[in-house]
Amino acid sequence: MEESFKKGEPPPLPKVEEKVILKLLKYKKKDYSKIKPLIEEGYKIAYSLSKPRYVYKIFSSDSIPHHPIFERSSFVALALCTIGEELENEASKLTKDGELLKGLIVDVLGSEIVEMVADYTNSLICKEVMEMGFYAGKRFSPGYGIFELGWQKNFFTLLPAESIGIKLLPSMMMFPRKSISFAVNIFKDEKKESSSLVCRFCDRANCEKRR
Amino acid sequence: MRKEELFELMAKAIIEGNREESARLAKLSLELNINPQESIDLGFAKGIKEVGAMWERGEYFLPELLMGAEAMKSAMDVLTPHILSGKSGSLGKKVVIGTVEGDIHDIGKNLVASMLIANGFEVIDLGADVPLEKFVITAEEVRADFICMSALLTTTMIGQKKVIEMLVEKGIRNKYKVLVGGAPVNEDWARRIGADGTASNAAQAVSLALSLLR
Repeated sequence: MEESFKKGEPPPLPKVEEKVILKLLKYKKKDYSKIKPLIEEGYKIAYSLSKPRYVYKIFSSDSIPHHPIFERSSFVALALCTIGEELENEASKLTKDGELLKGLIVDVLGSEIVEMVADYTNSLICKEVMEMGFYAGKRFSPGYGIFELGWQKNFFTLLPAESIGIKLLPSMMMFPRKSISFAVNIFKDEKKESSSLVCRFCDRANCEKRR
Repeated sequence: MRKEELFELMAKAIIEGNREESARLAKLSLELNINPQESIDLGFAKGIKEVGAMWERGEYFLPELLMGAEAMKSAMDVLTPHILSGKSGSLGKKVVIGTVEGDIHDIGKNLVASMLIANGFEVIDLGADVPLEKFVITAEEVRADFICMSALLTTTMIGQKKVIEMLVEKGIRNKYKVLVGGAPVNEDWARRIGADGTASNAAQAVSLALSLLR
């Protein structure tokens, strides 16, 4: 399997559905006419200020720092995605200036848009993996379950993060905040992928994924 | 228009989250020579209390709370320069708030700060990525009543603990109510580090702060 960096910008991203925004705002009323104009404004701001970019690379499992979560895979794809810092700066400015709801809507949209960039990047990885005759597992990110946040630093030594404008802060937080790092296990054999792969290592007995 | 009618309209503007109307009524009250503090206490503040009560009853949701706070701010922006002390904060209680060192998230902190202001607290917002000692130094300087710290990551929430330890070392822990918040923060963490409480959203933070004043 070819091991080279893949970097780029996704095609225009679809519009985040209003029902998703309302859910994230925890708004449960059917009539949302009062906040609809703000959602419309939020769309304009969020999509004009988002600068989506991604970079990923597929590594052989033994060429990256060991982690139990990679133990069954032949290869591991590591990816970084961002929408840049303009959107989050505007959301902060709006909330500081007292436009709380508009700022929150822009922030919520930013979180959804960067997830879409991650989805798109994940789809590119899956396509590449399929073409090679391998199987891609689910994506997972540092800071969730047993994949410690500390592993984040390896993304930044293994990928050219600065080429898409992402920096890692000493706290392991990424800047811009609207950035996502994720890994995808790649298997020779489909049977090796198991939805309970993470669960095997994780000690959270009441986790929703176990039920 | 009778003063009482105007106060009712002020409360209504806040409940409806109508920023333009609340600013208009605030200006009108000044033209009518009504004491700005009276307009706040008997008009606008009643509205924001009702917004909080409606949220407690499940009639209002987060967006409506925020709109109420925005309308309150519009009125306060008009009235504050005309209050004798020139300061906001009808409760006479000061809050030092910020996101701890190493953490650059600020949206949640901004929402809490604005909701506290709308509910009569005077807020000194230190921003994000605040050096830990700055919380203590500022609280001492302004004689704060509350220190509120936000952290969005498990790696940065330790800063909340360190600030409380600084307060203990200096023998001034009991001078302040310390509230902590952020995605990874829960009651257990707040209790373990010796904070006075935590809240899962801006409205609860206000309720908690008010309850600690009683």
